[in-house]
Amino acid sequence: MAASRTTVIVDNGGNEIKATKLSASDVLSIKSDGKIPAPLCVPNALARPAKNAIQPPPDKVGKSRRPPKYLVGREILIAPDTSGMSFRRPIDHGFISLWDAQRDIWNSVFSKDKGVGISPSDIQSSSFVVTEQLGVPMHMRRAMDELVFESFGFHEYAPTPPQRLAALGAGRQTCVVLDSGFSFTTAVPVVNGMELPYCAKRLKVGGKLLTNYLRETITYRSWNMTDETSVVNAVKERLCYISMSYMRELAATKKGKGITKAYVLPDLTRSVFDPVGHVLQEGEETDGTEQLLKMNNERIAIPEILFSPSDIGLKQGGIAETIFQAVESCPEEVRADLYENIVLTGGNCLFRNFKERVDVELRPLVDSVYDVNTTLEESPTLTAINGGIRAVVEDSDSLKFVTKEVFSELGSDGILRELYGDEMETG
Amino acid sequence: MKTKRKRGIYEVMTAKSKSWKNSRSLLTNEHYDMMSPSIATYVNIDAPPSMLPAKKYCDITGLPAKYMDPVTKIRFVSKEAFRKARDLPDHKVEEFLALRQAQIRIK
Repeated sequence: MAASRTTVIVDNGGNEIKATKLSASDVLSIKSDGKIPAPLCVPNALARPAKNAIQPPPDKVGKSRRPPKYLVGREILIAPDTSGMSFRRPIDHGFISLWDAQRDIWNSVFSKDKGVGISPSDIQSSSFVVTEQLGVPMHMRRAMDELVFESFGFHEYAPTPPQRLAALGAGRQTCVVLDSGFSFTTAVPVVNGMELPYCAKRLKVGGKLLTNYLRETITYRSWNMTDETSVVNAVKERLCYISMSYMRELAATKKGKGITKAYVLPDLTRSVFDPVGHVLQEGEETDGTEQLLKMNNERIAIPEILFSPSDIGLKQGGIAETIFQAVESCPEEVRADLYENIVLTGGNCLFRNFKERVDVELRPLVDSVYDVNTTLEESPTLTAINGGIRAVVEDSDSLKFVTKEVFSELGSDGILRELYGDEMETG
Repeated sequence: MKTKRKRGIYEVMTAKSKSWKNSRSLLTNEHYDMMSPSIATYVNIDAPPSMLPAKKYCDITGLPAKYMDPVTKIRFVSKEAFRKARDLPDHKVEEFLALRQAQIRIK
C-alpha cells in the first residue's frame, strides 16, 4: 500500500459500525506519538421510528421539515424517542444480506457532516480496510467487491477477518482471539499474524440472541416487551452479569432475595428525558405510578447461555469448550503459545466476571502441561478497529489489498485468486 | 488472460427487483462440496456439541427443575409452577417450549 494514500478503516460489526479515516499526515503523527484516534461508533442499522414517536425539533426556526422515514447512523443516537423503533440491520447472522441498506449506512459513515468526512472525489484515490467474517459465502464475497468498487469506487481495498485485526490490536503475533460479538461468538487461532481458517470455531450465541431471549423471558414472566428491544438491551447491559457460582446464586433467588433489582421502565408522560429507563437506585423515591420491572434470576440466567448453550436447546458447547476445540484442532507445536495468549474481545466481554468465568471453565478442560492465560482488552469493542489502524500505520503484511484494476480486468474471480490463491476457483 | 466476468448478486438483485434474499436462503445455494477443506466456510466452522449434559430448568420460573409435566412437557419446580403450567392455553405451551427448542414438530 502506498503510504501517501488516505485510508478508511471500517469495522463492520452487526450492531455497531466503527470507522475511522487516516490521511498520510495522521499516519505520521500516530507514528511519532503513538496516540490512536478514537473511532466513530454508530449503529449499523436503519431505524424507523414508531408512527406516534416524538419528532426531533426542526433545525432552523420557521422551517418545517418532513420527518425522515429512516434514521441512519448517528441520527439514531440522538433520536429523542426510541420506543417502538424498528431496526433494519444489513447484517444477518454475521453476514451482509441487505446491500442497499449497507450502502446507505456507509454513505452516512463516509459523509462530511455525520461521518468521518471523505468526499466522493477523494474516495477514488483512497484505500479501504473493511472487516469480513470468516467463512463468508461466495455470493456475498462478490457483492462486497461490487459495493466497494462499483458503488463507491475505492482505489483498493482489503477485506480482512476482524479476528486478525483484533490480534494486532491486542499486540499479539500468535494468539487465540475469542470474539464474542452481536451475531455470534468465534474462537479463531492466529499464528504469526494470520488466522488458521480451518481451525476456527463458531458458537451461534451472540449479543442479539441474548437480548432476544431476555425479551421473550420478560414477556412471558411480567411485562410485554415485544416491541421494546432497545429497552431490553439497556436492561441487559445494566443488570445482567456472569455468575461465578451459578447454581448457588440461582438457589438463592428462589427466596426472592439476594440479587433482585428493580428497573424503572421509560415513561413518556413525564418530562424527564429517559428514553430507555434506568435502574432503581437504593433509596430512590417512588410514588407508586412508575412501571417497575423486577429482574431476579434473569440477571444471571441470560449471560449463562454463553457458557452452556445446551440450556436453551442449542447443540453446541459453551465459550470455554469452543476455545478448547479451536486450539485442539491446531498443530501441536503452536498449542502452548495459543493457550498462553487468549484474547477476549467483543461486546459480550463487557459482562461483569466474563474473564474470570472463562478462566475457571477453561482450566479443567486443558491439559495440565499448558499454561492458560486470558487477557481482556480495555475496550473490547474497539480492539479490531485499533488493530486496523495499527496495521495501516505499520504498513503490515496482514492487510492484503486488491485493486480496482484487478476487479475491472478479471472481476470477482480475479480478486478471489489474489486473496486466497488457486484454492477458491471453484467457488 | 481475460475471462468472462460473471454477474454477481449485487447486479442481479438491483436490476430485477428490490427484494433481498436473507442469509439463510443464500447459504443453501453454496457449493460446499466443491470447496477445498482447508478454507473456512459457513458450515465447517460451527462449534461441535457440548461434552457436558444439558441442565434442566423450570420453564416458568427459571430455577433448576426436578419434574416434568407429562401432559404439556413443561418442566417445573414447584406446585405453583405446575398449576401455572396446566393453566396455560395450548399455544402458550408451545411458545414456552419453543424458547428451549423443545416444541413438538409435526413432520
